[in-house]
Amino acid sequence: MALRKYIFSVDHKIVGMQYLCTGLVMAFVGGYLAYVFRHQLAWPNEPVPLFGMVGPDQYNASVTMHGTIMVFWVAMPILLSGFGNYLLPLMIGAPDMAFPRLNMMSFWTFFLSTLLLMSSFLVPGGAASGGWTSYPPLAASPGLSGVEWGGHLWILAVALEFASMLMGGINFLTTTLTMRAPGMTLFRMPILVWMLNIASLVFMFSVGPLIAGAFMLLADRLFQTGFFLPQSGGDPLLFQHLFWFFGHPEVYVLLFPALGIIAEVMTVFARKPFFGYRPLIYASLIASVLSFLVWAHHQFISGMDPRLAAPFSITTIIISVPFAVAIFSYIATLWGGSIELKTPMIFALGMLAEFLVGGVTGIFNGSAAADIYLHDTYFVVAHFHYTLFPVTFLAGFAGIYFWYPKWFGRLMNETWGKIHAVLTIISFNVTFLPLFAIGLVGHQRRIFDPSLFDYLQPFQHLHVISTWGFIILFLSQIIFVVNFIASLCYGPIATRNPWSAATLEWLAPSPPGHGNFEEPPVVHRGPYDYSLPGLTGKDWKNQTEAV
Amino acid sequence: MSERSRAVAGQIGLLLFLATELMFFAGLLSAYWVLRNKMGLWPPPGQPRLPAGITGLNTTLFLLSGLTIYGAERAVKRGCHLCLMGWLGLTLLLGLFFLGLQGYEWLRLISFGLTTTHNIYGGLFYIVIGSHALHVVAALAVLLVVALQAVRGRYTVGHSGGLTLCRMYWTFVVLIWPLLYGVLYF
Ligand SMILES: [Cu+2]
Repeated sequence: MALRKYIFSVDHKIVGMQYLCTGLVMAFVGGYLAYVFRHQLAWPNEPVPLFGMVGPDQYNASVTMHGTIMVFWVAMPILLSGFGNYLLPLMIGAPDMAFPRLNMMSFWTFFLSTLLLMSSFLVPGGAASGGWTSYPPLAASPGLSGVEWGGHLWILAVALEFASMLMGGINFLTTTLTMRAPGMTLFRMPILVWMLNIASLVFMFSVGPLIAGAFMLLADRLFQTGFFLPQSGGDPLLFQHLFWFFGHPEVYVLLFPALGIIAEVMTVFARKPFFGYRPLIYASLIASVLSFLVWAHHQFISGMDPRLAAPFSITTIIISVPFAVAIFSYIATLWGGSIELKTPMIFALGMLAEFLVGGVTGIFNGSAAADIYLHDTYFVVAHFHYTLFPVTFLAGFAGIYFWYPKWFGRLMNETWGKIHAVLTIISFNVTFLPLFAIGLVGHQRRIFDPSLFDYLQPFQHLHVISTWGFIILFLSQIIFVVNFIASLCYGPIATRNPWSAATLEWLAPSPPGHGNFEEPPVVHRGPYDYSLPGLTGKDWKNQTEAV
Repeated sequence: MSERSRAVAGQIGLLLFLATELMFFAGLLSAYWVLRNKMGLWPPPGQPRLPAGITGLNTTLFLLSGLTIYGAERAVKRGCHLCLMGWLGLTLLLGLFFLGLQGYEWLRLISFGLTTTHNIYGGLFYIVIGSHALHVVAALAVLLVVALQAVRGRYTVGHSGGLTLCRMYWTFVVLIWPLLYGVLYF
């Protein structure tokens, strides 16, 4: 029975929790790999404590697997599948997903893909080492990289992971379209629900071409077809096009759920309705469409036709307009609010501020002229960590601290939560700010041993600062793990609605039982009715309360 | 959830899946187009031409199966069990025939020296047509399950959700084929 209830469960809440926990465990694997190569960069060719000597092959594999794991096995499962599965049915007042069995299958496909990926560390030749983008010719010819099985497994694992996310996406969209509670019109849905659906749509329309590219890459590896190898008339650039046609929208697949999470958190802790709810939704929809027209900004110096650079620069700069609208909506939501700096709110504010740095530096990379210099330097590394770290971890933590009482019926420790938040945000900046500087002096990415380059010698201390920042960042997460586990037993008991929030999930018991609600909710108002005038005792009304 | 809203949910889910499938084939075809333009001579010297004629005949028969499965769905609405079995059987036969003839042509092409090793022309043929063939196999498997359900009398007026889903998927696999045929065989 326990097996049926907690392991092979079709309940959306268990599936969500399974995704979330797998994602959190994988975050430690990805973080450990980052520790290995950051140590090598700061103190080249010194043995790494808890690892040993790092060879060039191991360095390449750890960089590759760090990127792969963090994007596909941490950010996707936590933001989209974890929060999505647990919260989406609750927030629209549904008893479960539209296809509960497909949902269970989605998780177990994901779990299988995780095992495949992890097993690639153990096969002869080691794990994939051609970068997380898996560019040919290197990734297409095992003879060049010496990685035979690791590369095959990488492609299979990624393909399976996509299949599982696809099942999830179909489930989200169908559930939202068919299972909303009476009265829950589209524009009464919480922003997180909108964002999960937009992210699913973007994922589904972008992933097909990459799967096609991955099949062709596998054929190159297994049957020597040579699609991506110049010597047989193939085209390595073709893979880059297929990859980034997916790769850029993928960034928004991660960003949208994160924006949704912080919208829920900020409205509650600023006690204000969201400013510009509809503009935000429209801006996100416009950005989703545009996200399919910007991919070649990753390839300005790849050797593609330079005449393509101008149009892709322009679309890239245009796409920052809807996101500027979004950022201003969030700031305007905070403006004049009664802000309460609880742990989730600190993380949410951190997410907004840090992501802004990531977004603005993206404009440098997006203009072809600047990118010719910046491409493939640590500036780019710093840029995308300033987008993806806040999206994955700051928004992720905001969500975990915020919904933890709903999930487990207890609150996390607030003091340790704040210490965790402040340490994480500061050490994140210590890790990645120096990388902007080191990139601007021309430090290329994916260099095993920077001490071999004389012109980089004066900047070696920046690597050391960055690595110390990372070590503190990594160790700070121990606070979170202890808090997370200890609060399961010792946290203060949570009521149904500890934050006085107005959305539907707070009506259900904490944790919600099978079927979620004692009686099916009927919706009468929007999701963010806070600071209503003329009320005594409380300042908000739940979505089910009559107008 | 009522049976009707479950059926609607199933159709929405399947449509979303088919949209992803469409993007997958669009990716394959765009890769085909890029590589073919890069190669210049097509087919490359010494490589066999693809059998456009016989495959054209096969295409016509396969398109017919898109109509026969529609007939099966209509038969349920009219409540004619015998017609349902007939149309489903015919669809199965047409699908199997398509797959069989394609397999036979593959064997002939291999004997003419159409391989994949350092051969983009051959590789593209096998990966694009092979992807479609896998879809046909999957669609046939679904059709077989549906036919077995039909034998047991599972489908009656207003209770044919599974058959409708099968028809939608089958129609997709049938309709995408002329596009692949037109692009690859000429
Ligand atoms: Cu991009």
